[in-house]
Amino acid sequence: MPNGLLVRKKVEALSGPELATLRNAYTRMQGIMDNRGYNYWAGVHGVPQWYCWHHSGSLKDGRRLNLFLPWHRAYIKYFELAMRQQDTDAVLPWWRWYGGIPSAFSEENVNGDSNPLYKAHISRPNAQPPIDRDTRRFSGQGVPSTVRLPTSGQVAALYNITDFQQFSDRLERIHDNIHGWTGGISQGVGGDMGTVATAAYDPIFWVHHCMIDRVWYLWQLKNGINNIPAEYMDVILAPFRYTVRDVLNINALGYTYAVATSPT
Amino acid sequence: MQGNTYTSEPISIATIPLEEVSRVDIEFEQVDHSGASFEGRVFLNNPEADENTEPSPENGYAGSFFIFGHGGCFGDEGHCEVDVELQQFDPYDPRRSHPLLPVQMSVEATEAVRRTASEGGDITVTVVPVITGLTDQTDLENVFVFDRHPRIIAYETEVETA
Repeated sequence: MPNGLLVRKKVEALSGPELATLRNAYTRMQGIMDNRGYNYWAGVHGVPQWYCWHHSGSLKDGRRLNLFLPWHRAYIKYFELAMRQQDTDAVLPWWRWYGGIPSAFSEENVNGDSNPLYKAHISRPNAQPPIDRDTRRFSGQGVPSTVRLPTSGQVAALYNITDFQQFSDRLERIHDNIHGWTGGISQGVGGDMGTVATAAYDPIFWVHHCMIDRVWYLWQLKNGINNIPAEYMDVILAPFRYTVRDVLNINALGYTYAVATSPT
Repeated sequence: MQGNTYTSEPISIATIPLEEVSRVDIEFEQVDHSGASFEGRVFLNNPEADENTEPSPENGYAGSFFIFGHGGCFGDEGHCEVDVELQQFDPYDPRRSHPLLPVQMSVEATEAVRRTASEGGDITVTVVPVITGLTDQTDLENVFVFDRHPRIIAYETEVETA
């Protein structure tokens, strides 16, 4: 923990004990139905709370903004805090998209138990219609060949964009594509990552957005931490107690990104 | 899996000096994102295009945009209705507007527009929505919905030479 900062690592770089810690935190959250639990936090994004920002949205004071990046940074920070309430050693890792879904998130069972990184149970009795089922993932199935994971070159090209809005729009397009590919469609049934409604219930959502956040962080290193329109700065990222200004510096949020670390 | 295809009325580009502009975008305003997620594939002068049409210059392919859709309504009656009156300016209301307010999408189509224009006449814009995500609540009859005709907008990069 350099300077007290949490180090978010690539999923494949997690040691055996670190992966076990992550699974333990997910398992404990998935077993809680109150506001510390997995269903609660997944429900902030889509069903039933719908707080997420995608593309350009509006405030009631008339401003039209794209808070996709800052809002999701705040969101996964809060999720990580909730995760660490269940296991104080847990840190969110990031999914390096280029190699497909990491085995840690694609194996249905681990040591004879259901893998909490593979699926979760959605319990929304007050939705219309109510939802009470496990998450579904049909990665790469039933979607056009143009919907696929990005190459490292496509992501690297983003760092040469100097305008925040253009960068955010281009990254969001890659993000949308990954959601479609990861969810997939099988026999007319959509995978949960494919729509806003249920995406955050799939356990891979969090490491996907950790990668989105990391790409923004790397872009900020090159193009400036405060490289964002001034009118964004004081906008509150509801329901979180952060403004956009508060989330620009990830070190101020208590974490950093690394590919890997030596054993501790 | 394909949604409803849209083809515009013929659009005149006679007033656009295509040789002098640096970029041409095709813009779609007021695009609904309450339903399916989809890739909107844009073709010029090819109203017969469908999800099996090769996205190639020969077929008039201009580019695509993505919609990460909400998947349908999971609320009580009226939950997903965007009431325009409720979106009006109110300096004392700190909330965000309805999350289903329509969005604007654009496709950079400089070469495609130039190529099509060189063939002469007006241009039609066809959008083929190829579904990438859906739920049990998704309306598959109305995947691509927007309120206005597409606009073709040209941008000029001014370069002063000595």
